[in-house]
Amino acid sequence: MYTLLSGRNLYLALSFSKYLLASSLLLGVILLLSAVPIAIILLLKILFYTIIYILQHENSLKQKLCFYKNLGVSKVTLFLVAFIIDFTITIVSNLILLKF
Amino acid sequence: MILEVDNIELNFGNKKILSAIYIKAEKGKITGILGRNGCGKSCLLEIIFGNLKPKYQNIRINTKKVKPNLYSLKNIAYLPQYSLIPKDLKLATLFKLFEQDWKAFIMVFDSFKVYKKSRLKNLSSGEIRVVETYLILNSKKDIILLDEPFSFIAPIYVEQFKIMLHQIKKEKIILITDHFYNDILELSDTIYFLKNGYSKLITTTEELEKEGYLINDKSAS
Repeated sequence: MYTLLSGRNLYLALSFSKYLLASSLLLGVILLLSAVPIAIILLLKILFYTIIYILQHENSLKQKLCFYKNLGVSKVTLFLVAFIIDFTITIVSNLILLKF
Repeated sequence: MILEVDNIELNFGNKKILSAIYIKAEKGKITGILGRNGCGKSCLLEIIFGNLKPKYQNIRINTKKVKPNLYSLKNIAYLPQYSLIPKDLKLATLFKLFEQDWKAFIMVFDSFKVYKKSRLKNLSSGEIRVVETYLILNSKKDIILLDEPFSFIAPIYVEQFKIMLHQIKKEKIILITDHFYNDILELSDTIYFLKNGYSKLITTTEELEKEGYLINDKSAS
């Protein structure tokens, strides 16, 4: 877990998935504000990441992944770390919203 | 250390790209791969790296079969012919990620010293290629795959990389392909030629002429 969430992996996952992460977080905030249960939001996020993961077979995205593979970081690691970041931010946001 | 690749079958639809391949690359030697456009040179390197899955493949290191995603062993670096590095990264960050010393780079490529805090998008395509080639070539990996490393690069830098390749080959397995065949012929200790899906070990330039890759000077004149 420590290796998975090393500073290097966090940086690379953020660099790789910044647009994916931003859109997922935006979607999460909208759903949270719409009072959608947190469990549903997290399930939707899992679905969202799974769809994007499968779509990564597209050629240009494969080329983009080559850089990360050269640094020894696989597609699975990038997605997993991005999801953990997303999951953490969503949970924290939910807890903050519950306070108000 | 010996890398052997064989029993590869790669098809795109009905088109057979690779079928009867045998490549043997050793530490201490530069292995060159030549062939016409579309003969499967880049595909072969992509397969070795683990970026492309063929129908069949057999890759061995020191006679032991390795899993298809060789990159997951963290012992291989690959410079593809397309642009490798995200353009929004700063050079200083990039050198940290690849665990490379910026000063050592500047010693060889002096004109780049102004770029340390720049993002890659501020460099020309040739300069980006220099950075990419340097980082891959010097990465702390045992196997280096170079696909058209000399494209877009000024002759002076090509010469620098040739010197570097001769120094680095003592510790690494290097597989290289480029359309600048003179550079490949000059650099390589072993040369394979790809044609119609098969590979052939080449020992003389006459064989390349027979294969129709080079023009025979005598017959041309």
